Amino acid sequence: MTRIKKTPLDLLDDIYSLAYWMTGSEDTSRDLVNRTYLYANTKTRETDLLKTFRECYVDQFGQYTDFCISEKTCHTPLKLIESLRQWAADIKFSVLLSEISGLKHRQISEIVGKPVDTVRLWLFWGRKLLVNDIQLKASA
Amino acid sequence: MVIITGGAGFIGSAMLWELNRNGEENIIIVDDLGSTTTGQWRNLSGLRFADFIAKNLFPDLLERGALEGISAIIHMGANSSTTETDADHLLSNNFGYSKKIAAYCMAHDARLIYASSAATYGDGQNGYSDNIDGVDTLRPLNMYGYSKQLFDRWALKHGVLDKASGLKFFNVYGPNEYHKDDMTSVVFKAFHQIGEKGTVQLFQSHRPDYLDGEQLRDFIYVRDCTSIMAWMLEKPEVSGLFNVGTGTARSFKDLATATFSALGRQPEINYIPMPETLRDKYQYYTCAEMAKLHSAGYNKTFTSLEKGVKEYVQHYLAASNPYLDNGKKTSHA
Repeated sequence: MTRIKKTPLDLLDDIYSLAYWMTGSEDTSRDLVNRTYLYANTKTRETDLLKTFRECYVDQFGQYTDFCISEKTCHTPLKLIESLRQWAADIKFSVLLSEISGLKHRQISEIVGKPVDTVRLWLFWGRKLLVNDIQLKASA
Repeated sequence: MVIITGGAGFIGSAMLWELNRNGEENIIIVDDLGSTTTGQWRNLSGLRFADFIAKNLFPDLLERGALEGISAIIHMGANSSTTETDADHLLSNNFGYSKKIAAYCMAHDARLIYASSAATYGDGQNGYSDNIDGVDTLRPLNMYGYSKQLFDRWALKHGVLDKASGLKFFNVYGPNEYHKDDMTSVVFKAFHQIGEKGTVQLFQSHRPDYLDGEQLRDFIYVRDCTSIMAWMLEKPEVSGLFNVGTGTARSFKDLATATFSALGRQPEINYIPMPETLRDKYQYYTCAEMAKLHSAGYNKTFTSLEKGVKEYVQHYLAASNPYLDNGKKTSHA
């Protein structure tokens, strides 16, 4: 399948959606989008723009995001759970990049600065955890 | 668990912020916050860490084995004033204290990353190479530089540098330097001078081969420093002394111009005579040789002076909260 190259302007809605999924706040999302576009120009690549967005996010929130990662919900060893918790924001972001933006594993790897194998592991567990997370919220 | 000495200081707190960005919060800060009027405590207020230990209690706790599970010590704590006149204080604080920490790390196989300084190069007559063979030939111009060089030499002699990494920081600028009074960067000083008077004062040149304001330094953004340290934490096999600069010398005039530009203003720079007492010691050129760090595998691009100053000014100095802060909550919380 051929992927159409998007300009930074085409990506504005996608980035706002990512920001809203990550923060749950309209004001914070607007601020994140503004910061992300501060250094962008018409020639900025999609990957570079998303890399900047990730930088802006972790600059302000670290790895904090609303994401329930619990051993009870996914039945995984505690050590793995702790490692997943440490990278909560990057894992959630990777899943969103894959599911919302439709990026390939290699592109996600470049954006979050981790090896492709790590990204694949994160996507595997991240999808499971995110489904649980959404179900938990829906039942709340 | 990671320990950061000088964790409330400029580079130390920036390193805490960097580790927080990577989800690392099991960190102990060792420092002495001094008077509340310096506002140094604010460097920590938006960051996450497990505990705070007073600087004077820390060596004893280490010796007694009261702290378990230490995987790394990032030793940034020091008196970094190049104008400090109490030599004994500098020796005990910068040399003696560092020896205790190094001894612990070697005995317990903990990673040690410590701050040396570009001040060890003195007037630069022996160059700015971080080659370990040249350590003994350097002649620092002030006691601060000498206290750092003493530790480098001790670490080399006792094999500490076979496992540890010593970082010779060049001219670092960026957020969380606000408590440093006279030792703050020219960007910080220029930002405030522009706000107060609309102009920036720089020293005239007293050498015919340099124009006014064209004295050169290797300015490095603090985020590049923390990026290097975070990389080194993941690479325990990387050891020895390393320059931490960009490898490109830029002028004070460039720095002031970038500050004006970040504020959307035209440069207005006044050149004032350098005090007589400084003239014979003043350096006109410093620039880090960076080949060693690159050949060790560090391949990230350094932030350009213009981009670093723009970010520092617009995101921090001109913001309501000028401190590094990644402890903000999303609305989900």
